[in-house]
Amino acid sequence: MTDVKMTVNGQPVLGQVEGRTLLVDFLRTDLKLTGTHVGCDTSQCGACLVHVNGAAVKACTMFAFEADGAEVTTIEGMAEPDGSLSRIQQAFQDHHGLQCGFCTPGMVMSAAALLKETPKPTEAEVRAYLEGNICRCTGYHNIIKAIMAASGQDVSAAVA
Amino acid sequence: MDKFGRSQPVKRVEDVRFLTGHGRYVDDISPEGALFGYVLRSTMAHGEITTLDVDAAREAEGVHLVLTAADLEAAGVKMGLRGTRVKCPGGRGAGPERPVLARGKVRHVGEALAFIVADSMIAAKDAAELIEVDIDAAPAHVATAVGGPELHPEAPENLAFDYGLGDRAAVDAAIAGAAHVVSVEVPDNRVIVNSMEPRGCYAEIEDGRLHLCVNGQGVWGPKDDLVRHFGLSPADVRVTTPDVGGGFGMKGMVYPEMILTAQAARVLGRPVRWMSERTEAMLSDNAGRDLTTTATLAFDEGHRIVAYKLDTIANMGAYNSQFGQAIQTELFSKVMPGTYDIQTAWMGCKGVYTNTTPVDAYRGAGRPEAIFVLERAIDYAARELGVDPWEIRRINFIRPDQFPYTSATGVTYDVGEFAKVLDRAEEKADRAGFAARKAASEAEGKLRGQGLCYYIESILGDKVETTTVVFDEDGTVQIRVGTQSNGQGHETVFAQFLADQTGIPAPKIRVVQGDSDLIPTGGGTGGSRSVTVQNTATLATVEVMIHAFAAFLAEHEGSDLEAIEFDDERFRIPGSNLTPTMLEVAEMARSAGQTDLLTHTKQIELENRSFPNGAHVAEIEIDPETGVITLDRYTVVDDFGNLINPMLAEGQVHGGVAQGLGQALCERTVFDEDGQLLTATFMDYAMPRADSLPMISFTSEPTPSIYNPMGMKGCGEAGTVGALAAITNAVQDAVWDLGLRDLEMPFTPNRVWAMLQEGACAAA
Amino acid sequence: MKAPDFDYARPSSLQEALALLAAGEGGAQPLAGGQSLMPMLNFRISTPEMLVDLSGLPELRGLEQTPQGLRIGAMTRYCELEAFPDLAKIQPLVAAALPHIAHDAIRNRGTIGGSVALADPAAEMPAILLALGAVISLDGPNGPRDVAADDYFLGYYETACEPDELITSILLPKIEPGDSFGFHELVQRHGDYAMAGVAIRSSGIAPLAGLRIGFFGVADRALRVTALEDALNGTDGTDIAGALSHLSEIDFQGDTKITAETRAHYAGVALKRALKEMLT
Repeated sequence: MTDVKMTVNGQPVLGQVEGRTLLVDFLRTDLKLTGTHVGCDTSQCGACLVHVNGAAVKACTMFAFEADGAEVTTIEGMAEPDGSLSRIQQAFQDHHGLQCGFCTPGMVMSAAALLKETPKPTEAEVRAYLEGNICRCTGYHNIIKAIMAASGQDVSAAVA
Repeated sequence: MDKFGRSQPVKRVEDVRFLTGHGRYVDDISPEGALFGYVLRSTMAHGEITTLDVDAAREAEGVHLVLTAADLEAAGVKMGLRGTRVKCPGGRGAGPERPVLARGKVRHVGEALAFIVADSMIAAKDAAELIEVDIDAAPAHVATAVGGPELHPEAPENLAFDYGLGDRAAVDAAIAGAAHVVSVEVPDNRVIVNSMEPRGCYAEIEDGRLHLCVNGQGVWGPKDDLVRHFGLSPADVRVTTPDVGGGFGMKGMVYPEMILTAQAARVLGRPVRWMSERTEAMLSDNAGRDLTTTATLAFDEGHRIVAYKLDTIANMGAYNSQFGQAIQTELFSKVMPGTYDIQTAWMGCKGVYTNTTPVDAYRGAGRPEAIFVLERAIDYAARELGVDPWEIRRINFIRPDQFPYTSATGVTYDVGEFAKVLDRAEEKADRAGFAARKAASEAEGKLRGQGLCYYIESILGDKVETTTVVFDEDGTVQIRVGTQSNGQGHETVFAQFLADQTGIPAPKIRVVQGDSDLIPTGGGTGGSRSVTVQNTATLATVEVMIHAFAAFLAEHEGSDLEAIEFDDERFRIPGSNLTPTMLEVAEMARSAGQTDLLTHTKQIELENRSFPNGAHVAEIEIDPETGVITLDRYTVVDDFGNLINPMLAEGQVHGGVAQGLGQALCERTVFDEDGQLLTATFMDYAMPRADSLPMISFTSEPTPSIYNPMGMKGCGEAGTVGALAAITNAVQDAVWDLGLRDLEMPFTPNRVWAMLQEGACAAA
Repeated sequence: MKAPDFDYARPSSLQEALALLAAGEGGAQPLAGGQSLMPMLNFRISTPEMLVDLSGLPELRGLEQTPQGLRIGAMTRYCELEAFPDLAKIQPLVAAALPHIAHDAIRNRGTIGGSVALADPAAEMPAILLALGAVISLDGPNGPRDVAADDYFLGYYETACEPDELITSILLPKIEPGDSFGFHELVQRHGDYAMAGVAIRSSGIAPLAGLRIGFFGVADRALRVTALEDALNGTDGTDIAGALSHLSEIDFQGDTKITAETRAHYAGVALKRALKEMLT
């Protein structure tokens, strides 16, 4: 067992993990942050996407010990300080950018990473950026709309 | 429409918890201290189990229990899982046992051999590696064909059933005398369902009763299964379902793991949890589609269809899954002749067992398959006969004056304005501009094709449903429903509907679903039934409630019952200043000690199904040098009847189209000759991604159903039903002039390029 | 948690890391970015006795412009390379190829050294190193040594790096005035491993000269076909039909998505398109 120490959603946390403990297991099991999901084991689906030191990473393809000393943000840390939905989260609700909700945490985390890099992405840029996130319910249509709307662009003209 | 709920794009209340990471999926909520179950699965497709030695695993650190088939038998657990046997002309289909754990033989890779329960998942997995398994390998039967190495002695030649419906002799005679006859073979590839949340469950003993929590599509089926397998009294079993990360039909069926997890909890008296991993899911979740049909259409001189004949061979996988035998037979038959006036039809379907994962319902379950065959065939026939593919459909549509119309397969359609919807699609898809777009593509060396599918869906699932409304002491209201959200937004829709009918503010209404203790019966989610059937039940319950409350008020106020009115918000009592809301009457009743007025329930049965229909138009571009297909435009015009929440209905279409597109363009399931699944990860199995699709144009062109009071038609599966033929016909359009006729999904770059080479050879 | 049990070590110096690998006698597996290794561990395809985490080694970090070229520490992550100032001027081929390598979240973890060490036949980076004539610096029990990219990729996941050696850095030689670069890959979906791809360096474009063409996603490893390069050198690169016949030297591989025959065709298409983009 190894000691790990990290900051998760602004809170310092300590834990003891086996070498083979994945970051996603540490978050879900030890910290009870179950918003980060496991949808595959090959870093294709993006349901486990979190931010480590500000960068989007797949928590199923990273060991907990590799996040030792890091700042980790999960979906539970994405709402506004007063608990209301963030701009991106609100846009997902406004534009029906989710159905079953299982891929949604990863989509929101990906969207946040994209908009940090590219504040006003085109539709093509959003689609290309989401290549590491799979959704089985929405056909992506409303996810694209939501992300573009969250970037402050008018999506009313997008094909209805 | 106002009378029965306002059509409005209300935002979903469930979204807040999903968006903030507070969804409650089954793997998020298992009881503290639950042990972890892990399924050891067969790595061989076919063979005799000669050794299954679990002794070392039982002794391993952290292991509490290992279950084998012998353990289940010794404990008196019924081994055979439920599996429908379809009614055929020669008697019912075969009924070989599908055991909870393989006994004697294994019949597909991924079949469960043993269940290991340990302190942690890792301990269970480590222990599984200590299990000695020897399988005397037999040759695998992988091709969807009659004959080959036999899987079950009960099914000679691997024939599961030989189904037939219609008057074959009449069809053959009509074909023999027809002016034109066109046949085409239509393969429909196997799809792995891949809900983003895999299957999972936990089980515990609560006050001496068995509680199974499972991410299913309705709690009553699993409850019946537990009762049956364990010989328990229904009163001793509770099944619940929390948030579900997509089901698509796949999660609606019984699986071995539910029984295993529950049995482990019973044996150990401790909670046990099980969660599938992705590769496990791909090996053990029921797959979808996987059939090939030869379709023959016969026409008169005026291109009116005079006969329609289908011969299908359908892959069942290794066993009868719960509804496996019903999908390509009874369910397929519901829309077999589609929107066309065809009264002379025959469908034959042989089901075969193979050493592959069982096949069952996948979004649409038989109806996408039927429409794909028909729409591929009619489009193909039009091209063969030199008729415009849109025109041949108009010639054959059932006319509005023919409704109600009973089809050749005995289904009565209530209403339909197919030509009107098609006209709208022609305009929305800018068919007039297609020639210019095609010329532009050609100038860049690309092929362009436009494909149409005119589909009709039959809503399926249980026609019976119940709504119960409960007024709680804290001033909130429960609406208990027998359907089950798998992500479609039921919490919002059902609460909003009740709010519109009763004036009770939606935020005060809580939708309760997925608990067999609170809700004695229900039909779950499936067959696009939920909103239509549940809201119909809610309407009936509201009526009961209004009547009961009015009677109470009449007595309370000493007024005439007949004179009391409810105006969707308040009761109006002649001669009284009192204008109470529903919530206020409930409180009055509570104060008066009339607790019987705090719960209202009504069960309804729909008079008939409803029949959503519409046109999908796909426009694709092919790069002939690589075979890469780009879906450039996609247009949907749907007649879903009245829409309760257009935003959510449209979302269902988007998702359905994406699933159809996935099957048509990228999702390919590959078993090798030994029955090994070669596409068992997301690296090898190509799911559609955000850049696989364009924005989808959606238009509602409603003709309300007359078989339910809201005039609704259901929309959950329609997107998938339309997409397969629209895309395939677009590909056909693009390559027709190259002489290419045999098309087989998925149209991956490699396969399209190879096909184009054949075209080039043929042309040379 | 899915992986088999293993010991974990996070050495703080290269010497220490090499000692651990040597002591492991083949049972110790270096962990770089983990983006390929971890799925293999999750599936228990890879079952090392010990993982040696390289993230604490200062010797393996850093991106540096030297008179010879760009020296990339083996533990440099793709995202760090992407962010290197003026990358498009210093190493235009790398800048052009990076967006095609997996996706953002993978590039945020994956390392250049890790990709080169694994040598996936469909990965972009090995072919880029071949095209650029890169030099791979290794260190091990017998001391440091440099291996030319041409001598490094030996077969299916097989390289010149011994099990007790580590890649310390990779040198991408400085580009010369007049150098031109081309890159093209064919994928089923963007970000997937290539169905076929090429990375090209030429020291001139009219005519082509000193061509180095790295193919990937075609065979058991990234490779060059020198006869094909020779056939194109001195031409203007527009008529390549004759040169393409040399592709028959490649032992094209098929898989579930693509047959060997289609791969052979795609390799030619990728080359044609890369040259066309390069020459216009």
